[in-house]
Amino acid sequence: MAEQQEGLRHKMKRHQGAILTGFSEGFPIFVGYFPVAVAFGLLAKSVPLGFLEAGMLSAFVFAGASQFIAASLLASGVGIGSIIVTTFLINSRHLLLSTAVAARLTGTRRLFPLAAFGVTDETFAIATTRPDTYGTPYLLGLNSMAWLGWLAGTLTGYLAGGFLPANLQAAMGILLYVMFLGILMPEVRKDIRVLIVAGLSGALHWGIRATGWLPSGWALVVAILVSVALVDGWKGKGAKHDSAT
Amino acid sequence: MTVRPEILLLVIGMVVVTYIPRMLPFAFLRADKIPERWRGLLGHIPHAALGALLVPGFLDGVAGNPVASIVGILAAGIVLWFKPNILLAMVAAVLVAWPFLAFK
Repeated sequence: MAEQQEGLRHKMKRHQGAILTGFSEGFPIFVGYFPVAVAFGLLAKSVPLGFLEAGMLSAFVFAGASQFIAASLLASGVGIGSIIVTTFLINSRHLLLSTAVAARLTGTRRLFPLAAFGVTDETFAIATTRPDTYGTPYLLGLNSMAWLGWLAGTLTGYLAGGFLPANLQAAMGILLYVMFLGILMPEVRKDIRVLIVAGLSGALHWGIRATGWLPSGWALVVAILVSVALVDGWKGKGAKHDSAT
Repeated sequence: MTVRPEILLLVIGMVVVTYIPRMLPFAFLRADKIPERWRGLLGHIPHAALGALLVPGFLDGVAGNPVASIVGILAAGIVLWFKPNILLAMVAAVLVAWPFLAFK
C-alpha cells in the first residue's frame, strides 16, 4: 500500500515536470499567437461579432486561419453552411499534423481527446521536432500555453485592439514566421538535408498557391505529402544503390 | 453580451469539422505500433510542414509589406544562426521590420 502510494507520488511528480516542460516550450507560441489573435479580435469586432461570440470561436475552434476566413466570409454575408465546409477544407490538414503528433505519443492514453484538441501548426511543429517522445501531460502543457495566448489575444484585441500603434501591430505579424524559422533552424544545423525537404516543400507550396487550384489548407497538405514522398523515394533509391555497390 | 443562435450553430459546426481530423489519429495510432517504414516518412513531415508554413506565407507576415517581412525574417535568421533563442529572434524581427513600414 505504502509502496503503491510512493509509486503514485513519483508518477505525479513526473507528470508535473512534463506539464511544466510543455509550458516553457509553449511560451514562444503564446508570444507568437498573442498579436495575431489581437488582429482576429479586431476583425471579429468589425464583422460585427459579439464579445462572447468571438471568444467562443477562439476558445472552442482554436484554429487561426479558419477563424480569420470565417469572420471575413460572415462579414461579406456568406451562409453558415458554406463557412463550415470551407472550415473543413482548411482544417482537414490537422489529420496529417495529428498523425505526426500521435505517432510520437507514449505512455497513458487518458486525456488524449483533450490533447488532440490543441494540435495546431505551431504546437505540432514544436512537439514533433523535439528530440524525445512525450506523453499527454507534456502535450497538455504545450497546448494550453498556445490556447491561452490565442484566447487572451482575441479578447484583448476585441476590447482594446487600438492600444498599439498600427505600425507596430502590423510588424508583429511576422512573429509566427519567426517561430517557424526558430524551430526549423536548429534542425537544419543538425542535418543540412533538412533544408532540402523544407525548401522543396516551400517551393511546391508557393507554386500550388500561385495556381489557385486548391483551397489553402489542401495546398499545404499536398505540398507536404509530395515533398516527403519525393525525398523518401530519392533516399530509398540512394540506399538501394549503396547496398548494390 | 448574447450569442445569436445562428452564430452558435456556426461555432458548433466549425468545432465539429475542426476537432474530428485533430482527434482521429490519436484514437487510432500508437507510437509503438507504427511500422519502421512509416516512421521514416512521418519523421520528414515536420520539416516539410515548416517549409510550407514559411513559404510563401512569411512574405505577407507584415501584411501587405513584403520588404518589411523579408527584412524582419532575415534579422530573425541572423539571430537564430548564432543563438537558438526564439524569443530573442522575435524581438529582433519586430524591431527591424517596424521602421521599414515607413517605406512602403
